[in-house]
Amino acid sequence: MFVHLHVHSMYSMLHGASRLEELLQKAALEGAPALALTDRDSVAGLAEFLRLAPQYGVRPISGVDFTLEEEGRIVLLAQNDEGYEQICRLVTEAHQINRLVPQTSRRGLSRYRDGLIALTGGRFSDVSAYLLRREYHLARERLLFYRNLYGRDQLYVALSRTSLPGDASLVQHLLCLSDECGLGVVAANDVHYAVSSDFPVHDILVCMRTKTTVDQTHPARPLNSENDLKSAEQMKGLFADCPEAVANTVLIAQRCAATPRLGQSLFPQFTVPDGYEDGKEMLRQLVYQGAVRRYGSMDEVPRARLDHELEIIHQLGYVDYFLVVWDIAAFARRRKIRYAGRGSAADSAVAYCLYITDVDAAGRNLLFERFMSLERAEKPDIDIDFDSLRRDEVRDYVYQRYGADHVASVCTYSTFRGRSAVREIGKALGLPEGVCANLAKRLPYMLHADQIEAALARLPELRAARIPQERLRLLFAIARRLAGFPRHFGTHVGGVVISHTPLLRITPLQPSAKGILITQFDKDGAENLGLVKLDLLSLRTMSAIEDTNRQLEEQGRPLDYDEIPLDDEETFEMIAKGETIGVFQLESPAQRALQSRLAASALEDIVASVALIRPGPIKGNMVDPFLARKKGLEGITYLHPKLEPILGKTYGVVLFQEQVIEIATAIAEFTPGEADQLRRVMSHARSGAEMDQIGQDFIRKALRCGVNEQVAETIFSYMRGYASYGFCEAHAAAFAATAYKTAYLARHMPAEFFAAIINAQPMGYYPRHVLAAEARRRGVHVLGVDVNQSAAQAKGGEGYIRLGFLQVLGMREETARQIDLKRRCGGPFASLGDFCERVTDIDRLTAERLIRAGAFDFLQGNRKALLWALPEAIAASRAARESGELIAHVRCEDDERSFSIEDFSPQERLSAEYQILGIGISGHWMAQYRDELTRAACLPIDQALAGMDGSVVSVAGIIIRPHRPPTKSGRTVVFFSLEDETGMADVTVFQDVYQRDGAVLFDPRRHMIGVRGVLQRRQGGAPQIMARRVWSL
Amino acid sequence: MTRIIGKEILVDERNGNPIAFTFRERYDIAEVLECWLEAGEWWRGQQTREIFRVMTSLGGVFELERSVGSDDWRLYKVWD
Repeated sequence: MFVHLHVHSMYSMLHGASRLEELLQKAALEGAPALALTDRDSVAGLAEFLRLAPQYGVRPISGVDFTLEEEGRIVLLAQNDEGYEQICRLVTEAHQINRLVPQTSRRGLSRYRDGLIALTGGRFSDVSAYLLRREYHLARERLLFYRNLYGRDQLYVALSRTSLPGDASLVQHLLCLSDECGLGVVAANDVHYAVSSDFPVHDILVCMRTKTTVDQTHPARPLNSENDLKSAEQMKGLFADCPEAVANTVLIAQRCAATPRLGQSLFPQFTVPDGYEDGKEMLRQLVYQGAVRRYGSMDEVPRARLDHELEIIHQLGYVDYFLVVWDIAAFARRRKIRYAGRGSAADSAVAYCLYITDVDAAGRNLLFERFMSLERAEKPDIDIDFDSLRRDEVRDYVYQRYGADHVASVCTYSTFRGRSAVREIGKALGLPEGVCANLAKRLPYMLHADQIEAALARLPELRAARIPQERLRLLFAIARRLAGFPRHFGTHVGGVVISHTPLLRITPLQPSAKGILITQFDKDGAENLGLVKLDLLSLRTMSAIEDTNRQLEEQGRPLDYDEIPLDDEETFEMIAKGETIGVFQLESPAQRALQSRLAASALEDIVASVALIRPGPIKGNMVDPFLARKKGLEGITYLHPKLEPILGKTYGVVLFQEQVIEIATAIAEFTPGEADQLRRVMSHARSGAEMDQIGQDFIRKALRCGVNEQVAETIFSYMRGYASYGFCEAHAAAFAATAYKTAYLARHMPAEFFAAIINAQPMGYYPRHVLAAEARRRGVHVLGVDVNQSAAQAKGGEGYIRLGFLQVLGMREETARQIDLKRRCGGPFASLGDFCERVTDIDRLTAERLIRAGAFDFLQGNRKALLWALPEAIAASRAARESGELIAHVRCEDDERSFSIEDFSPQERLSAEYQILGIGISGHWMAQYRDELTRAACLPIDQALAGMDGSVVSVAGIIIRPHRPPTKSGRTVVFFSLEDETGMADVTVFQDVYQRDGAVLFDPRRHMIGVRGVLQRRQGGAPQIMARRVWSL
Repeated sequence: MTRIIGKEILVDERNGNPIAFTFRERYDIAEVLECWLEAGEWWRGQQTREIFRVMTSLGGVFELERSVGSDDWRLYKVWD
């Protein structure tokens, strides 16, 4: 037998070319009793490794391959929990020494050495480095240092024979040294891939790491493909002259326990204040108190439901979890930080009564088991959106409340995606940078690395890139292998873990770029270890709502957002016209088109529409039946009487995940846990075989319940239609409330609301110029930046929005605030010189941008003359400041030279505004081409959309957000919006047109396009153009 | 110092190891000093190569190479 004790996986980040499953599968195939995972300076893969290894019948050993500060590496294996903690501390320290290139010091090794078995030697160690340089005495000295540190029993000299030059002599010297120092030896293969055929992948990863191409040499490039997970026979053969090196691997494996343990309960106990018996009692009381406030009187409180939920929460051991989340929400309320709970937590009436969510789960009869169930092993996940500007206050509170040692952010691993894979692999393969960039730019953003080849064949804009496809074959093959490999380590948007035990016993913590300490395990890994994640998310919509409120307060007309009437006719009228640009969740072209057909008249309709425009319902062909039935154009029938109470509120259509669970429960008597498994299989779009298996179970159980086979099959086909991602009702309801309320703001206070969402950019679906166009459509004037009128942020007023300094490209927040402050304290700026003199924070580039954007137009309107005058103004004001003298305002722009300079053309001015502010202030870009467009028979968009249904129109404009959502037919359909100076049109391009003309739609260099197509109003909805031809202008 | 030669040569083998080679004249191999594997330019479809650093009976040091699984030998380098 033989055990590999030095193995790298893909979590070694550019050092390992195999997935954990591949390594374990190979180990299992070779009959290895155990396998160590020793990634480079990281334990990131350990949680998954510990979870997977037993499935392969392999005992996992935890370790790390540490990079040493001076040179070389050392492998440390954890013998027990104590050893694992030492590893966590060492890894943490290594990343603190150097965040990007972690390094472990000998001092650190001396501090954290208990419960560990150390392997030095091989090709990788400092000892071997000395030997290869023929510095024998230094090698011996270093080995003795390690022997003193770890002791004879805990230190082994690793020997590797990977067919490298010098192997034989190195092994010979290591054998002599180990003998001399009385140390045992182990055979180790420094594994970087499971099978040798993955050597090219490893080589490419090394090229990426060393920033070389395959044609360049680098000492770190591997020479051959011998670092695979060799069989015991191969290893025995290689070390036939030294059998104890093989035998020792097994002995070491036997001395190492699997650590850390999975599934421990690590969540902290909530400190229960006096007056409560225990946490359970406290939670019950808080829930009941909240229920009375929520429902008005005790008589209205759904006691049975709350008791049921409380019992499950108690049985599953999540009382403390709910108390902790309640405490965080209570803190946010005390500090008036806007928040809203979302996700499946809104299925809980307890969460509603604790004011964690705003969805009345009991009133809506939402299924609690979608959130938590006794049968389900998964931990509950409560997500809360906070005002993005104040989310960090909440996070700081959590750190302060539970101790910095016990709280950390969760990491995320971004994996190779299409674009990054093309850029990085292409570069490593030595493909011209232009070719890689050209291809990468054209790939859809979220495309996985293993879908590139298919995309190239399918998408015309990629074919148009004229890339020599034969040269890319290697790239595609390697991209396929690297799909899903972690590439970058990052911070989860809101995930925070809290532990009752110091986190360093569970996970190393490493600083993010912003200095926040993050776990080395991602969400799933942390949960496997027993950590519970809280999602404290930041949502810019919350900031925009808060900003709107603030503006209204400043104007003396405050609004109580929580008291916005939920039945405002004018708001529903607006939504029903599809005029929802800027409205949370309802602004995409698909949503706007849906709204104009749906004619929402109540909040329930908004809940449905949030769930309807999702891949699941769209691919499952549920949108049209839903609309037809709602309008009474199609009868509502149920395949089985038991479906009526479940699907009644959605007109017999499966729309929510909760309904899938309820159907399986009602028709086939699935337990809630079983039904949730079904939902998971479907929602994760797993393999067809898995789905078929669930279908067979469903039909078998349904038959046992007396349901007709054909009916059961048809019902399952509906559920299957839901196959890809669909929404849970609780989440839709949580979003719908915010969607409706932001629609209310857009309808009744558009100036303030659109100013707020312009301030909150980037957010939502549309760029700034579209939001400005929408505000204008609503009768709001959008005024440019003006040093004497603007504030730091955009502000709405009576019929206008005045853009703020922060809308200027590259403007620093401090500079924006200083301009505002200086003007308020010292009065309006009289001249450019006056501005430069008083605003000390201004730099030349920012000042130039202010001028080019029109912020000084109040002076004499010649922007070019002001640009000429600027250097002098800056120099004069600087000289004045340095000399300490107060000088009269420098009025360089009055210089007679200024008047002889011809100003920018209107086109140049407009171009600068778009470039600097993202919005055309002096006009619309398309307006300048109107005469030419008229000659080319292109109508202004407002005129085109007023045409008859079925008429053929030609329009031209700026293309906005072209995208290819999933369709029920699986064919490619492109949707985009087109904007000109008169309005915006939504355009649909079907597959045939797309294949012929589509190359222009996703070309990053083209912004203006022409479209000829048929005007269509589906079922009385808003007009759309079905493109027959698309061309670049 | 070494010189890269890169010429095809004839090699006599025993048990897969070179025992003599002919490069302008015949050299008997006294000892294989070192042997290793190199992956070669896999991106151009090259096979892994086996390299033998050998000392001839006259004391010269040469590096011979062959693709794994092939009998085609080349004289890779000569050590001056």
